[in-house]
Amino acid sequence: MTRYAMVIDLKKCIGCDTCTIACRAENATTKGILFNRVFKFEVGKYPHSKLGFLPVTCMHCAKPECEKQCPTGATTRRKDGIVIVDKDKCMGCQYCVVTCPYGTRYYLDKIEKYVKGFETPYEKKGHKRHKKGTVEKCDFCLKRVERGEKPACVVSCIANARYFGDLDDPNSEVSRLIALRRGYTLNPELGTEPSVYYLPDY
Amino acid sequence: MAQLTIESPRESEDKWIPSFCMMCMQADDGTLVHIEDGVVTNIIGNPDCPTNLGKVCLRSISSIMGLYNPYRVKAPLKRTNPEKGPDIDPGWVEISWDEALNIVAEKLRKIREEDPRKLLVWEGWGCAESLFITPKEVERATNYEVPGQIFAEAFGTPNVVGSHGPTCSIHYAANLVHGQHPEYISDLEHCDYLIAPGRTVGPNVATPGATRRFIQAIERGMKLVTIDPRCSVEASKGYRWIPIRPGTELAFALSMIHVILYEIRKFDIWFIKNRTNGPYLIGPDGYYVRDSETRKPLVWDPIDKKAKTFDDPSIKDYALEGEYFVGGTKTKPAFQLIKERMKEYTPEWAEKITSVPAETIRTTTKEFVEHAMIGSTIEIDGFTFPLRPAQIAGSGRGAVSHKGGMYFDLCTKIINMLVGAMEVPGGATGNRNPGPCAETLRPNEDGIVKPILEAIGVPWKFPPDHVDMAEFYPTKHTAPHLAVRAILNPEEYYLTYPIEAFLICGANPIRAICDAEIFIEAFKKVPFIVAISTQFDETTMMADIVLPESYFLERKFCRFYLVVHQSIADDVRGLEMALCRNPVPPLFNTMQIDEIIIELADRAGFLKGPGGLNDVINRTFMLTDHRKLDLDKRYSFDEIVDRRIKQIFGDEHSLEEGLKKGFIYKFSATGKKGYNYYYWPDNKTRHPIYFEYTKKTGDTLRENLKKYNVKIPGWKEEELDNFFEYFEPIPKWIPNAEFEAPPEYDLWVANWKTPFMPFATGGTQENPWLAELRENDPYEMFIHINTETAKKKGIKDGDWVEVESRYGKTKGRAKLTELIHPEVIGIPACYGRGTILMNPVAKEGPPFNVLMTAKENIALDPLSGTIDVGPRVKIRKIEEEAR
Repeated sequence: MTRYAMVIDLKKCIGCDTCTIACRAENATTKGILFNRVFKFEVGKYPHSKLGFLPVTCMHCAKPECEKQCPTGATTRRKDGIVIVDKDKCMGCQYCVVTCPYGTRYYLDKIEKYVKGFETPYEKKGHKRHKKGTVEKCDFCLKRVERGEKPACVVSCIANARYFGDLDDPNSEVSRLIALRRGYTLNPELGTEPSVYYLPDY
Repeated sequence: MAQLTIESPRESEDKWIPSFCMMCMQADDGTLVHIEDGVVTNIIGNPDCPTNLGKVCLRSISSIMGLYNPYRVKAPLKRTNPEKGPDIDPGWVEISWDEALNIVAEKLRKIREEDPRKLLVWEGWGCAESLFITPKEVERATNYEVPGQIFAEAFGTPNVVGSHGPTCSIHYAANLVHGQHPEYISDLEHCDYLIAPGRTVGPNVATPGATRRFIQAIERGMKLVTIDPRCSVEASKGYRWIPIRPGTELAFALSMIHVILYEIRKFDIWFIKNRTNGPYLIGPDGYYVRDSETRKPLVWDPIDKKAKTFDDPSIKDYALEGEYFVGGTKTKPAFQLIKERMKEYTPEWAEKITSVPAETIRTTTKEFVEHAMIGSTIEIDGFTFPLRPAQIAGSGRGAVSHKGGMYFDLCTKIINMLVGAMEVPGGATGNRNPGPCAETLRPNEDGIVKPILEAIGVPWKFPPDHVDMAEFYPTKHTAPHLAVRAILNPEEYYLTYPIEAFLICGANPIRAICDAEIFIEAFKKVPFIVAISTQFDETTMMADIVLPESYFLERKFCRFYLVVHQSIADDVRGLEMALCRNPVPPLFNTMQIDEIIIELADRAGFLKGPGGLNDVINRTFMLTDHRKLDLDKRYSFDEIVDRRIKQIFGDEHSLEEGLKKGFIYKFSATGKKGYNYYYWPDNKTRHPIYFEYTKKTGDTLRENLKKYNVKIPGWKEEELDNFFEYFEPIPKWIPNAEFEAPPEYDLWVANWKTPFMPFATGGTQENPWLAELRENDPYEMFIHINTETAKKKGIKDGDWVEVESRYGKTKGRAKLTELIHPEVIGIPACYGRGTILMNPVAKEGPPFNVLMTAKENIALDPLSGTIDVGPRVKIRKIEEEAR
C-alpha cells in the first residue's frame, strides 16, 4: 500500500517562504489564504540565541479529525493517505476548520484580490478553481502526484529541505530519513498520526 | 491617475518558455515560465541551468504579480504640471512613442553638440539588463581596460552615476589585491572555516545557487563564524555568532592580525616571502626602495647580506623583519612596518571598541590559523597546490560601508595572506567573470598583481570632468551623493558646466540613498529629465518624459558573463554562460531599454559612423571579422546579441539556440585551471600586503590639490589631513564619526537585506504577494530592539517607537528580540516612502535610509566613497496618534 508522506528537515530550512509562494502560484489561492505557512521564531537568550523555522501544511493525518467531523462526507482520506475536500459536497459549516488541531484548513468566505480594486489575469484564470463558501487546504498537489511529480513546495525548496515519498516503503527516502534522523510529528499525543514529519534542527 | 486595466491576449495554449529572473541584481537563475491561454500562471527553475539547477526563490515566482502590476508605466508620458516632487501629481499625458523619442533625441542631439558632459546618465539595479547603459559587462581578455558604458561613451559623457553604489562600495580591496572585479567571493569547495563579517553567504537573501552551496558546506562540516550585530539565518545555522557594534569590524580585523603576529606567532612565512610584497624594502618616504638602474623594487637577502631586485634569481632568502641600509638610506621590509603598526591592536583594545570579548577574538583567530593548515598541499589534475581551507570574507557591505570600512576589507586580505589562503584551494578569491585565467594575477613591472578599475582610479583633471567628483575621490565606487551636491553648488565643487539633462535608467536614488531632500532639489534644478521606467517610483515622478520599459518577463534578452555572487564551488567554477530569455507577450505599449537606446542614438545622430554606438559596441564586445557591426548600418538588438554570442561561443552558436534552451554555456576553467594560483605559481606573482599603490593614489591627489591650489569640495581645509588618513599603505584604526555622537544617541542602528526585499529590482516594493507575506511576518516590517534594552527603556513588544539619528528620524513598531546586540537597533530592507501613483503597499514599513547622511566630511570613507550605514540613534516610545 502507498502512504504518501512529507519530511521537512528543519536543519536545512532557511525560512525563506519560497515554498509558501510556490504553493500560492500552484494553487492560485485568494489573498489571505496560504496552504503552506512558515512560522518564524527564536530560541535562547542573547547572545546564545538563534532563529528557528517551522513550515506547516495540512498534515494529511492517518486518523484525521476533519473527516470525523465532516457532516456531508466532503472531506475524505484517500487510500494513498492524501486527505481531500470535495468542494461540490462541502457546505461550508467549518466544523473541520475548528477541529483541525493544526489550523491548516481555510474557509473561503470571499475571493479577495491581490491588488485592491483590480483583478489580474492570473486571478481571473486561477480563482475559477475555487468555490466560495467551501473549505480548502493543501492536497499534497494531488494533480502533480498523479502525474508522477512531487508537490510544488517540495520541488521548489531552495535548501532541498523537503522530501516526499511513500511511508509504507521502509526503504524510501522519507522512511530512511525519519529513522536515521529521528523524525517526529507535531502533537503526537492527539493521536491524529500526521503524514508530515520533521527532522530536528540539530 | 493611470488606468488600472490590463488586457491580456487570448491565445489557446499551454507552454513553458525558457527565461531567466531579474528580481534581484544577481539574475543568475534560469527559469521556465508557464503560459496558459495567454496568461502567465507559474514560474519554476530551469532544471538544466547550471547555476540554480531548477530552483528559483520566492521573489522570482512572485514576479508574475510584477508583470500584472496595474500601477505599471504603460505608455510614453509627458508631464504637464511644472511643479515637481515625489508626492506631486505630474499631470501625465500620454504621447506617442514617436513624439516621445523625438523630444528626447532632440535634447540629446543639442547637448551632444554643445557639451556632452551636460548629460548625466543614472543607472541602478533596475538597469542591470541593459547591454548599453551599465558598466557591468566587462571582457576578460581586456582585463577590464575597456569601459562597458557603451551608450555614455558613444554620446561622449563621462557622467554615468550608479544609485546602487553609495551604501555598497565594496570593490577597491578586491580590485587591488585579487586583481578581480566585482568583489571577494567565498569559495566553499574546500573551505573548513569561514569568517563572514557583515555579509551574506546566500541564505540571508534566499539566492538559490548560494543557498544550495551553503547547505552542502554546513552539512560537510564547514564552520561558519558570522560577525554581525544581529543573529541572521546564517548565524543561526553556523558555528558561532559574534555580535558586534556596527562599524567596528575594522578593530576586530586589526586585532586578528595582532594575535597572529604577536601571540600565535605562526603564519605562512613561505607565502609572505614569495607571494606578497612583504619582503619589499620600504624607505623613509613610505615607498619601495628601487634599484638605481632597473628601478625594480629591492628586497634584502639575509644570507648574502645584500639588497637584490625582487626577481633576482640568486636570492637565497628574503628578510621580513629588521632594518637595512641600502645606499645610505635606512630601509625596512614592508612586513616589519606592518608588524609595527599592528602592535597596539590587542584583543583587549579591540574589546573596548567592538564589545567582542577579547577571548572570542583570540579563540576565533586561533581556530582560523589552525584550520588554514599552513604548509599543506592538495593535488588537482596532477598539479600541486597549497591547500588552505580557511578564509575571512571581504566585501561585506555591513562591515565595509563605514568610515574605515575599506581598511577593514584590506585587513581581511592581510589576514588571508598571513595564512596563505589567497587564490588557492580552500582560500579566498574574487568573482571575476567569466572565471580564473592567466590575466587575473598577472604581475606588473614591480612584480605585483596588476590593480584594476577602482584600484587604479580616475586620473586627475582640473577643472573636473566628472560631475560626481571622481577626480577628487579617484578610487570611489559610485557617488550620486556627490553629483547632486555638485549640481546644487557648482562653484564650491568646481563644476564648470551645468548638467542639463538626466537620463534615468532603472535607478531610484531618491529612495535608495539618503539626504532625499538634496536629491529632490538637484532633480528640480536640472531642466530636462527623461526616465526609462517600469514603475512610478520616487525618481520617475521627477521626470519630464517617461519612456515605458517592458517588465523583465517581457524582454527578449541575453545576459552575458553573469557573475556568481556570495559563493562558488566546483559546480560553477569556470562557468561561462549566456542566459537567454524568451519574452512573454507584452501587456502594454513598452519597449526594452536597449531598443530604446538604439532608437535614441539613431534619431540623435550618434548610432552610425566612427565613435558612434555601433563603433563602441564593436570595441567593447571585441567583435571581429564578419561579426563586426558595419558602422553605417542599423542593427536590431537581436542581431547585435546574436553576433556577440557567436564571438564568445563560436559561429556555430546563435541567439536562436540560446532562446531554445534558455542558455548557452561552457566550463572553460575547471580542475587545476579553476584556481588563479595555477597560472602564476610559486613566486611568479605577488599580492600587495603593503598597499604602496594606495599611498601613491593619496599622495598624487594631495600634490595635485596643492599644485592647483584647490581643496576637496565639502571638506574644510583643516580636515585635509583627516581625508588622507584613508590612503595609507597599512590599515589603521579610524573611529567613525558616530563615535563622537552626543551621549543622548546611545544606540547604533543597523540595516540588512531580507529575502523579501534585497533590492527594489523587479518592483519588490509594490509586489502584492511579497507584501502579503511581509505584512504578517513577525520580523520583517519592525524596528528590532534587544529585549533587555527595551525593558530598560520601557518599550514593549508592538509599541510604536521613533528612532532618531542626527540626520533624520523614522517610526515603526518595536519587535523585542534576543537576536540583536543590546546597543543596536535593527531596521531591515528599504521600506517606506512610495508615491501617489504606486500600489499603496509601497508606502508601508519603517524607512531606514532617512537615518543616514552622505555629508562628505561626516560620513564618507574617502577611499571607497561609501556612506557610513551605521549612525548612532536614540529611540523612544510614541503614542499611536503621534504617527
